[in-house]
Amino acid sequence: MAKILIVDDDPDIRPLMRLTLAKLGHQPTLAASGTEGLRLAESEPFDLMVLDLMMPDIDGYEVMRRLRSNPATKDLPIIVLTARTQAADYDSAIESGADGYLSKPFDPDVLHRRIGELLKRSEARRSAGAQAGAPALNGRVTVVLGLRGGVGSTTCAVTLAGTLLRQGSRVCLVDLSPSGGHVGLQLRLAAGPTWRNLPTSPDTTAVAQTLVRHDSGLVVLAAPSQPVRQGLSADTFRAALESLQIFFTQVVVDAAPVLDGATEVAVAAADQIVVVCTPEIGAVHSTIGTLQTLGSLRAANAQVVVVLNQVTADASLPLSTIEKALGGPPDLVVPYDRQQMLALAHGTPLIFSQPGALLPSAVSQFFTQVREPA
Amino acid sequence: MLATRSSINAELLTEGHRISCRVAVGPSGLIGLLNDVNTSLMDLEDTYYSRLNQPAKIVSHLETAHMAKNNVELVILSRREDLGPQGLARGGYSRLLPVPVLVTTAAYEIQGSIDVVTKFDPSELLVGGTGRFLNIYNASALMVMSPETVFSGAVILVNRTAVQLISPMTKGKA
Repeated sequence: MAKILIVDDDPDIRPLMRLTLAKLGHQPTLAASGTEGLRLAESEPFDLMVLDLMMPDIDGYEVMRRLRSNPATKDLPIIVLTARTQAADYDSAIESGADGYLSKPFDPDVLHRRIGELLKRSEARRSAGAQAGAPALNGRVTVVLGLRGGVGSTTCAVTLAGTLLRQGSRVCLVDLSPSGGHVGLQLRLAAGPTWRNLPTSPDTTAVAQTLVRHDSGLVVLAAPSQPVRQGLSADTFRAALESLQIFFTQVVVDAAPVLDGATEVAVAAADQIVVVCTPEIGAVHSTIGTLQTLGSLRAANAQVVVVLNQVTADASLPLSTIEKALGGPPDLVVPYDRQQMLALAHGTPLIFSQPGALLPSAVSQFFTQVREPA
Repeated sequence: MLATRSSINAELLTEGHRISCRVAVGPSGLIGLLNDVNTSLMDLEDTYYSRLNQPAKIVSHLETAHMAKNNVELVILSRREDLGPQGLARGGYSRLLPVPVLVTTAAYEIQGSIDVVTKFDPSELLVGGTGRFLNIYNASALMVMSPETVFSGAVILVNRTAVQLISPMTKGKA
């Protein structure tokens, strides 16, 4: 049971939240304004705060800024629950110190899950802080692989990273491609450092200096924008990945479409591997080969997920044939989404402009299913 | 029978401001309110406004406020059902065809899809009927002066008097 402070000026929402959280086994305390919420948070310890943004006296952004500047409350996990649903609101909330973001009207199951994740993370942070010695590698690694090029693995990786970010994780997206920075292109990243700027054995400072921040709050270890002869070396990437796992709670690797040394390092460190395929004979053939090869490369506990990505409206292979070839159904079928094409032209991935669109919804649902293996 | 009134959350965009508020709507929903020719005003409740150069920063809270419908450029709804009864919002029992469109106003570029009855007819969309607003579904609106700022919603209603350009977008074009 957790002590949860609910700060919301809406008199209809407060009793509903109290009921929902009490039913989930928590101990809720209600505050009707930002001022009251701040006073309560500073006067007694809470495990978590659920905070509205639009409040008449002090808005939620200011509440978060004040809590984060107070040593006594700087680590209090905060979930923003708001009717403001625009990307700018989300970015601003994360910048002000939110750990999670949910839109009203909310689904109690999603709120429950988010609270559970944040409490678990907060507990892990506390125990890590209590232990002396080497920093813990807490970052979860997800590798997105599509050994047949053009299957939309970069789009899947960007969408997955954006989904994790929206769920309140600290996320780094790594682009391992030596054939032009596809992540940088999708996110319209300005020219900046890439993994080519890493020294051979990078320490945490060198890695931090090489990272690029997207407007959404997503942090990227970018690939060179022009094709290069040599990809990132296995040793350099191994050292960089360790630093990233200290800084971030989630590391999403958009692997190169070849099994090079860096991709092997990523696969060996992975908690989950997402193999992306399209309904086309070459891609299915390549996926079968990839799954066989992964058997000898991956970490013992890594979960492998096959995603069938319908990048075009007309699939050339029926699902039944693909299922037969793969020996079972894909774990996720991502529907064709015309909006994705427009989003690429806009330079704003759907996960940030229209998180409710087909592609982000499917990926978000998939991640919820696979993030905690049974 | 008593007329029922309920409040919905809406975002109103003008050329300079973003207004997040609650709007009391009757049985005909927001569409009915916006297209009611008997009144040019909208009453807003629990209003928070932001300047568009910092769209997430709340400048102030207003208990009540009023707006002339003509000055609302876009209305953003996160839920399609807030539009109102299906018949008013989507043209009754007609078979509707979604058409992807680009619509521009002086301040915004809007992309999404509109529902047409038989074919894309710009004159019907822009000057036909008495409705003040054009419904664009699963839409995003990019600010011309600050293209990194994008608003999105299940529906964006665009004031027809503000529309400068409308174009159906076919597959392959962006």
